[in-house]
Amino acid sequence: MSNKKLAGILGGCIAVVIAVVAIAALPPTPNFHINVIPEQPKEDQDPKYSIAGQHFVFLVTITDEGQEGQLPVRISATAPGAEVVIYFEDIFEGQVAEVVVIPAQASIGKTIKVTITGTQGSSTNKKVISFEVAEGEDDRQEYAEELLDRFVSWLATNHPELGITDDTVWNGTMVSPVWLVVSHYLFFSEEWELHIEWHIMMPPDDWAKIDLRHRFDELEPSYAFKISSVNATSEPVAIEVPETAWR
Amino acid sequence: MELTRSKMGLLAGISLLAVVFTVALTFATLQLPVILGNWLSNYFPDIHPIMEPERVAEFMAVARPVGYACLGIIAILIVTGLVTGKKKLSIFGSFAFFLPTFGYFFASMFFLAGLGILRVPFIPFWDPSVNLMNFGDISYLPYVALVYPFWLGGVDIRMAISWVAVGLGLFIFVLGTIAWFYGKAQKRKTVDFWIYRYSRHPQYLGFILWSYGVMLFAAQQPVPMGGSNPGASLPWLLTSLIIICIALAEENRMRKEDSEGYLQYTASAPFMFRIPKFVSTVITFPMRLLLKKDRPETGKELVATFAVYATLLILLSLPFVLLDFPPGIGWSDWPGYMPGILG
Repeated sequence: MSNKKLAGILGGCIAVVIAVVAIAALPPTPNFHINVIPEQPKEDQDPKYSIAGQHFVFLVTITDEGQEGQLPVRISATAPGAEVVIYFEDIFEGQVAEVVVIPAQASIGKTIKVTITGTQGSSTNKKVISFEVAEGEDDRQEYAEELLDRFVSWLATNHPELGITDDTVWNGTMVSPVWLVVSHYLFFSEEWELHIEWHIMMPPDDWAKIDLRHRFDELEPSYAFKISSVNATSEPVAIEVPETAWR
Repeated sequence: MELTRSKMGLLAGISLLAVVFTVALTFATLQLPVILGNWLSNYFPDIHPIMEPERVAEFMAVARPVGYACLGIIAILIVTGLVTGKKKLSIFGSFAFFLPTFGYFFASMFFLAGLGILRVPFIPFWDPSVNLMNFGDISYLPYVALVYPFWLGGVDIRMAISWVAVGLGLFIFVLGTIAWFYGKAQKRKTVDFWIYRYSRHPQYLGFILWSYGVMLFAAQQPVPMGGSNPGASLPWLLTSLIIICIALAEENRMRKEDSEGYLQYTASAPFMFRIPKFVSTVITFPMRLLLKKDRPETGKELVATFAVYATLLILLSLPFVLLDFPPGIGWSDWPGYMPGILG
């Protein structure tokens, strides 16, 4: 065999292998979409705000256009200037992952850009959402916990089907720090997200409301209750459930 | 070779010796990596890639160039051996190419911890966006064909196949080695008795079978949460091809040294093992098309044969890559849970 022929064969083989690898390296079209709540505010909308140390919880779902029973989509996220914790990272359609972004003190006055990535096999899809980090501190926790206790005691007695008892452990975080007239707080148990809001006003307008979202399989709240006047010690009553989870 | 009573006794003794060696070597195949892995973890401790990404990056900055250099040296050894006919170089190179497969046997968060450090030469295969390791996945076809029907019947034979491949490979290798030494002690030009009646290259056949079993064991190793098992099919495929090329080169030498005797022998014993004629015709078709003859006779022809078959097998593996098969964490999870048993 001549050197020329050998070089031709080797060159041809190398070209075929490179072509094969290049075909395989082409990113496959993802057959799923990522949906994130809250969405990225449009240009004419106010940005979302957080304070340092707050848990900004993004709810992530997927719309899978592939075959049923395929692989789950693995959710990952990056957010320079913040810590990221992900709950329930492998999701199928109908399930909800939670991406918790906790801005660092050093990020005050800056924009946190959160990149949420879904990976299914070798295909990936991304969504980028940003929020501002405002100066401030959590001065609502004490009162929010006071209200939480009132609602939880009532729920434990009147809605045992929810599985919420006086012993249920809740972890809270302040949300919507720049809202002043109505204050908001989020509590999380293993099973539920409880959004509490209260009207900073004199009786009889000092109402407080909660809505409950079942974590990991619900995107919107499924229950809502209201105390019409906190100081008047009114009993909670069921109210119309909000259409979206508060963020 | 006529079997007298004393020779039958000798054969029985040798067979017993082969069984003992096989059991010992099979045990060593799976136990030595564990012992060596524990020892190496003193020098290459585990690093959590999420908790300590800086340490991983620091380690990879050193390991990556070492990996590329190692793979380069291995490639040079193999090609030089094939072209110059110095088979020891090629054998050493191909064994060095397969050795990192044992790195899969060590469970760790960081893929180069403990025995995983052996996988340094595989880094170039993992660096590109597409995992090059899967370009040898056509090798799993016999495994798939054997495992799947049993799996449908609720029987898991994945581990059993790996054990059988390792054990059978070693048994054939040991029988071949004993026969070869015995033949050489008798100053025979061509060893053509015992196991050599059924295979002209029992040692290479044994190595290929043994390494197939090791590759299957590697593919079945569990992976840490969030990881995947890339397997080691490409190194096995290429190593086996190199071994076959070395066997072909040896046959060329034997034809020169013992022309008449060896030709007579090749007429009665198959190259590796007996296969139907039409299968053999299909397998050798690319070579005959390329060389216009039945076998490569020079170093250059061997290199060209190797390149063409490697390319064809990579092409045949492409569907596995494009279909991302098996899905999820890879072969370690295939075919999944037994039907009827909840996962």
